[in-house]
Amino acid sequence: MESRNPLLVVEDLSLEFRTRTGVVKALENVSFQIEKGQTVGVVGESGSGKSVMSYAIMGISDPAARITSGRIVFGGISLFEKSQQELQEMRGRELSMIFQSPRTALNPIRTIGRQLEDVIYRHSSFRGRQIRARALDLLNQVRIPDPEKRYRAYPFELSGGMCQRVMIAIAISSNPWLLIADEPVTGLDVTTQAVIMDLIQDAARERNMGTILITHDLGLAAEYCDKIIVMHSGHVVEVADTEHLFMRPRHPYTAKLIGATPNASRDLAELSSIPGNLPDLRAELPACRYSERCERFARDCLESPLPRLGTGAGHLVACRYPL
Amino acid sequence: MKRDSLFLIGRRLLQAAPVVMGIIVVTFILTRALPGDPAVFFAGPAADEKSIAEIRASLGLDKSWPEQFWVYLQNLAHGDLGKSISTGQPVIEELATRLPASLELTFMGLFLAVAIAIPLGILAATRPNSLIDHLCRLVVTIGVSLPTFFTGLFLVYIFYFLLGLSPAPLGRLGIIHIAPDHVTGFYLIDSLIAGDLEVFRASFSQMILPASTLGIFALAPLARMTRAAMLGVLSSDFVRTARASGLSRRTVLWVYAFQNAILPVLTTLGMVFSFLLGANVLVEKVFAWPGIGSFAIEALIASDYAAVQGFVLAMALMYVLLNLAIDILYTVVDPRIGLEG
Repeated sequence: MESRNPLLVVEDLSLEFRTRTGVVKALENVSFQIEKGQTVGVVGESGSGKSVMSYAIMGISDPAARITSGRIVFGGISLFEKSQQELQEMRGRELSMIFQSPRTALNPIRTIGRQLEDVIYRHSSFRGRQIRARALDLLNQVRIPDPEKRYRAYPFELSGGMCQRVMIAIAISSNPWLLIADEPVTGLDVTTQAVIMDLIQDAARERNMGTILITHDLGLAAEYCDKIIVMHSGHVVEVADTEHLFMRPRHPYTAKLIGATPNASRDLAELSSIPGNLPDLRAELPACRYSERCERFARDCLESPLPRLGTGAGHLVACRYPL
Repeated sequence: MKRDSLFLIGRRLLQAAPVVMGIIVVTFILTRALPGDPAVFFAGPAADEKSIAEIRASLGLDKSWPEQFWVYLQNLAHGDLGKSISTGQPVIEELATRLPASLELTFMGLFLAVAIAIPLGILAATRPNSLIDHLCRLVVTIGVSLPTFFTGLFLVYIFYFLLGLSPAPLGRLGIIHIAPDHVTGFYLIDSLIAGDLEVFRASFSQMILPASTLGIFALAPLARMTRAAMLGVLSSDFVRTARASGLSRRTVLWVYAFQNAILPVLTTLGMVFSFLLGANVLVEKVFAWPGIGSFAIEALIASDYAAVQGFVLAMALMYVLLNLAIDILYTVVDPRIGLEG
């Protein structure tokens, strides 16, 4: 499964925010990798560091963020060795990102056509009429009906689903190698969700593009992802092929997450919630940040280093007493 | 589309009519409620009861208020604002010669303020807690805490009295210069039309201190609003998208952030402009500027009813037009806003 030429390798990545109330250890020793054309889901509850991690990969972290260890290797190139200028040119061309709430993610006072043109102008050699032709072509690709007319529309004149299509058009305009989709369908209605997800999947397949799907919806991840990374308060707690993960979760947190996900064959009453909250990331933290909420807790769970157990077929779990 | 806009602008102007009507009524009552009798003032200290009564009758002030108001309205309908009793000139002429002086000064002050405040606010927002951010804070504090008459006197003291760099604060032009032919009433523009660079230079140097006084006053709210608006926009979702799309720093800052931040700045600009019209009154006094502000003060002291009414009415019309202009600018910048509102 793991190839010699992975698309993206995140290795031992730690990131913290220096705030007035203390240092927030938002990510600690995060490691995983993604192959070309692979769709990887990143799941976990709010505050688990999913978005922080994707911003770090994109190089658009908040100014208060400091990367304290690790490296990110993209297409064989270490991103931290690149200059700001080089990273800027890579964004939107080789790595792209789409976001939650597409209507606020687009400039409210610029037509969607112009916004698409801005990015095409920046990353391609198209000029003049070619840019417009390319933009219309992209709007067609994301199946926006009547693109000529929508071209002159402002984001407030379009629905959330339409805006997300525009976002996808912008993101894939330079045929990137990697697309990070941060909660791309949260807040959209269910039928639109499926349409948007299919659009992302088709775009990825056509281009052999790697995709990171960040979501808190395990059902969505199960349907679209080849591999799933489970995060909990800044740690990667489990990585496995989708099938393995759902068939046989090893980390107690993953098991709880799956138990908390509604599906058709299960009654609502059977759903269980996960006790406790995420720990305060400013405090001194134990080796296992889930230990406080864990039913399998034993005293040595607090001791570093936490073992990272490989159980074959790329299944990794960061737990001393896995299921 | 274009005809629609014109129609809407016309409707907005009609909507302003009740406001103007209200102002006409209120100023009429207020000027008469003020202490002081114009007939006594006009007759002079040596006058007796009889001559005062004659003057009162000649001014039409012996009639009842409703009668006076009716006469006033009829005159207004013919574009006649009455005669100023202190200068003897028709009020409309006084305003027509003095308004350009005030407007030229106000625009100049506003221009200086915008030219400094907006870059300062943007720089402060892009580099929070840097030296330039602290400078911005300092300038804002100075701007809001210094009253204009003090800034004016202070500038005169430094640049005229101590350093001798600027000419005496005695109006729009020194005595050795002759005003350029009246075209716009703005000396800077008229002197250029006449091709007289000497007068241009002279009127510019007369204007720089009073305009700076107004500018310092207008700077604070503009810089603060620019900074706040830019900070808000820079942390918005769509700027994050623009950065994630790899757009250049310049495009992100100017096309994406600044164009959105300009909306609240525009609102502030409208407010500041009207503050400046008020601040003019004091600044014109300090610099002996022959504008409508100093005219209004003298008229008020002399209980010059027609002049005060004319002044307030002119200001009210300017506010109405200004607000309309700001609203139109808004619709140009922001497609989400229509003129109907």
